[in-house]
Amino acid sequence: MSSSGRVEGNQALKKTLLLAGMLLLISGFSACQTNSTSADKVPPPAASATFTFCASGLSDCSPATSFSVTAVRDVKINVAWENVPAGNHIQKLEVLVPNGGLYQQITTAFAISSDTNQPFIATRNLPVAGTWIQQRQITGEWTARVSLDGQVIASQTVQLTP
Amino acid sequence: MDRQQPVVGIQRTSWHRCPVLLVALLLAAPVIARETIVLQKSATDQQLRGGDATLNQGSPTSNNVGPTVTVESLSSANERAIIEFDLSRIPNVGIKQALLTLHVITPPSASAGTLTYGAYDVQTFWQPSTVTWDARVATTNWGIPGGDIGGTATGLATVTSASTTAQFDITPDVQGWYNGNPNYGTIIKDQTENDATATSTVFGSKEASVATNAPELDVTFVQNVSSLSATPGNASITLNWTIPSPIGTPKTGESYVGVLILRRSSLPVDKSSVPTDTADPGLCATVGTATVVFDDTSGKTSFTDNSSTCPTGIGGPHNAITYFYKVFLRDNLNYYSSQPISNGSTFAEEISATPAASASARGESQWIANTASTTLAAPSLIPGSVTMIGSQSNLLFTVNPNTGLRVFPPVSIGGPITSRSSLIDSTSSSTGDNVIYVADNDGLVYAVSTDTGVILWVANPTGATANSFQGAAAVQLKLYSPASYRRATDLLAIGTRNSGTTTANEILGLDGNTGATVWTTTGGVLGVPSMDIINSTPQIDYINGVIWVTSRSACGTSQPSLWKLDPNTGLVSANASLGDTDTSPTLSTAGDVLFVATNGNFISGSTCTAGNGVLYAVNPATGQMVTSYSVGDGAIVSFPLVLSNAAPYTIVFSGASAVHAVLYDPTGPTFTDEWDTTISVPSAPVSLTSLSDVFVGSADGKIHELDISDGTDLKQVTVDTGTPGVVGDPALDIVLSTLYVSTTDQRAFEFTYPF
Repeated sequence: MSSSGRVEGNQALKKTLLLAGMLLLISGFSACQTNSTSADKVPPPAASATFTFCASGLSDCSPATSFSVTAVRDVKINVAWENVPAGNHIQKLEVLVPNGGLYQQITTAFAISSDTNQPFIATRNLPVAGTWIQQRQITGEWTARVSLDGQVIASQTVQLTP
Repeated sequence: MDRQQPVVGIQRTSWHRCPVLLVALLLAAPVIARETIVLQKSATDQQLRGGDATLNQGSPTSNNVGPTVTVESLSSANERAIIEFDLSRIPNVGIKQALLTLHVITPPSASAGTLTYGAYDVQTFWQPSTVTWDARVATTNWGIPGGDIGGTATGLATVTSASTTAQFDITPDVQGWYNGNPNYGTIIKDQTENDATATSTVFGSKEASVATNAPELDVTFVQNVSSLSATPGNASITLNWTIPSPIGTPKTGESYVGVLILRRSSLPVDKSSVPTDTADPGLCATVGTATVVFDDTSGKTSFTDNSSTCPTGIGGPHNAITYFYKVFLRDNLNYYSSQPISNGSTFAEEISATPAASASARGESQWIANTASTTLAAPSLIPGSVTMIGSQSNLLFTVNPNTGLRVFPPVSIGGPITSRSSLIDSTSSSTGDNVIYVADNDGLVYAVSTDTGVILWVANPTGATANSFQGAAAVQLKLYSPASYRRATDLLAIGTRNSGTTTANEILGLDGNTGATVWTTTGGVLGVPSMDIINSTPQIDYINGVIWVTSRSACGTSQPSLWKLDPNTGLVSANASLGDTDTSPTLSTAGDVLFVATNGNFISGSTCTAGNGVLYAVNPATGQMVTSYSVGDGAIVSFPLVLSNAAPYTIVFSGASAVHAVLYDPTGPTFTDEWDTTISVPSAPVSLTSLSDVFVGSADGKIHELDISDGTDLKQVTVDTGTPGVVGDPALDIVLSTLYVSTTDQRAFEFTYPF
């Protein structure tokens, strides 16, 4: 084999390797994209949450959007989750005072079974009677905000009146 | 457990198949700056607040603490390691990176191949000494068996038969712990649990026989400045601070070079207003809701904010306006003492001041401390040495009152704290420790060392997991108790707030040294009258040898709201039906009269309706009302403050719209009005018999200083003018002559008094 032939052979080898490398890169990204986006599947509906509030304590818990801090003992916050994928999840419920500052924060973990289509409902009581809310008259438009696995999913305002 | 596999499986596959992308991400990641410290149990770092255990699904009720922790995948017998670090060596820092390293004691077999383990941020409180697969605290189960964790690991690591360590990047979790999220540690678990054939790795635990095999957390951080102060002048404010010395290993070629200072008028600098690492925003630039008023890389430790500050922009401070500053330490690569913020409250040093033409009109805070959520309870304190603040985000903060710096990172507990916790110094406590007793809304009671933050014990005396304790536990100290007190240790007395009943609430007596329930007094049981919710903290009566508790009374006077109990047995020796009461009773210094302030609620039709509160004088011997005083200012919202050591007594208290003072003469017996001062939604007023002023927080964002003789509103300091800018109950430090308050704006403040 002549030297020129070796050079040509080396160049051909380099081209082949370069082409192979590019193909590997492309296939790598392709595999990556396929795995990451599941393009061949219909994406599941996004998880959603709906708030309802009711006066907890002694009376029945009929949903309402406004509560008198002098009359209510607790405000029960219900978060109804839908389309939450099976597995473990973290819910963070934040209760914000009328200027948006954090009043209370509660984090809970829950598991969704793969064999159920029932909405998952998380509840939490916000004590009112005898608390700072009543004694310091922290009234106005409060906000409840809920996150799932670090992503804010829903927020809802609720009126606390004198 | 099964349900997690698809999620993590996709994640693992993606990383393994994307080497190019991974390299690109690594190249794009910033260089880590400044100091690094290794947190690992050693002779010099006992990791007192740390702990670990193995959660064993095959033995779900056993507590597994020892020299090792195990991670195993085996169907119905999985094992997980749960680990918590003590971060006390770095209380005042911004986190840049955190790497958790476990040291392999027994690697997996070669046939197991490559195992992938994940690190998960634990979401609920647990105790190393009691934690199991099923339970997180003695009588409280996890929400999800095997630990309350999400479905996605924060960091991953692979282990083979040749591995000596497994390292997990848990930076976001640790940053969260410094952003106001509780630190409940980390769970390590196999990503493919429930294998048919067991695969496992044994790691060294905190109690490893070879100390260097204990879990370690390598943390890279930037410290905060210290000794921050603000001195107001005439249209100027001078800030001073100290640049700290490194406490870890400095990065080669990097050093602290100065500070970046943000300013905002009338309101604290918003928590999300933080500079971006590696970038210099420049002088007078806007960062969030604030403006850069000082941008230094020459190591200065003082700055005077005046008319020459940003003259074409916001200009200098104006008199009579309160300015808030946030000071970020920086290094030569512009890494700041902050960290990314998603949800939470970034901690950085803050201060405020109000300039004025006359010196007497100026004011400034001594320090501002982050509390992560709203709290309006008076901070607990050992005067001159310890200030502790509970939060509604499950954190208990310990602040050095002389510096405003955290003594150690906040103690993470199980639920919101909504009252002023009792803090007992070691010379008085039967525990021999400086100890604070904390009760939370989720039903747990804790004893916490104020020196170390170590939780000495946890109790769940009612078995409830929600809505249990609103008021704090009062502590009957053995040392100061009369001979009639027969217990060998201190006693905690606390009442429940079970809003689902107006009749069956409980008053509990707990052993101060162990948390064991000594007695339980339940409404409607064993002849005890019906008992409604208890929102207040009991009063220990050392003179008469009893405990006083106030409660609600189903919005009427047909059932008791004042309870007198034997501290040895919890037996109710007297009660009185005074109407709904949410405030604690107060005993006169001589013990001859008990003052009780009620809400004034009444039933109108079938609705509980707000009325006007009544101040009662009660005979401690009988527990019966002697006389009363109606102020006509809505519910009385504070405990009666008794300001005389001998009769006649001056009583100060807050209604809905004013602070009131009355004189009680037991010889009458009569109440006489002394003064009434209008204050917007006042807090509990505080003072001492040796002072001539009363201090009260307000919904106008200020603390008011009232003349005790006539109620004149002498002077105010601005704390928080947000909407609502509600200022909580003050606490007075008689050693430092300072006053502490918390606010709805997730901050606590210190001011000197008198203003």
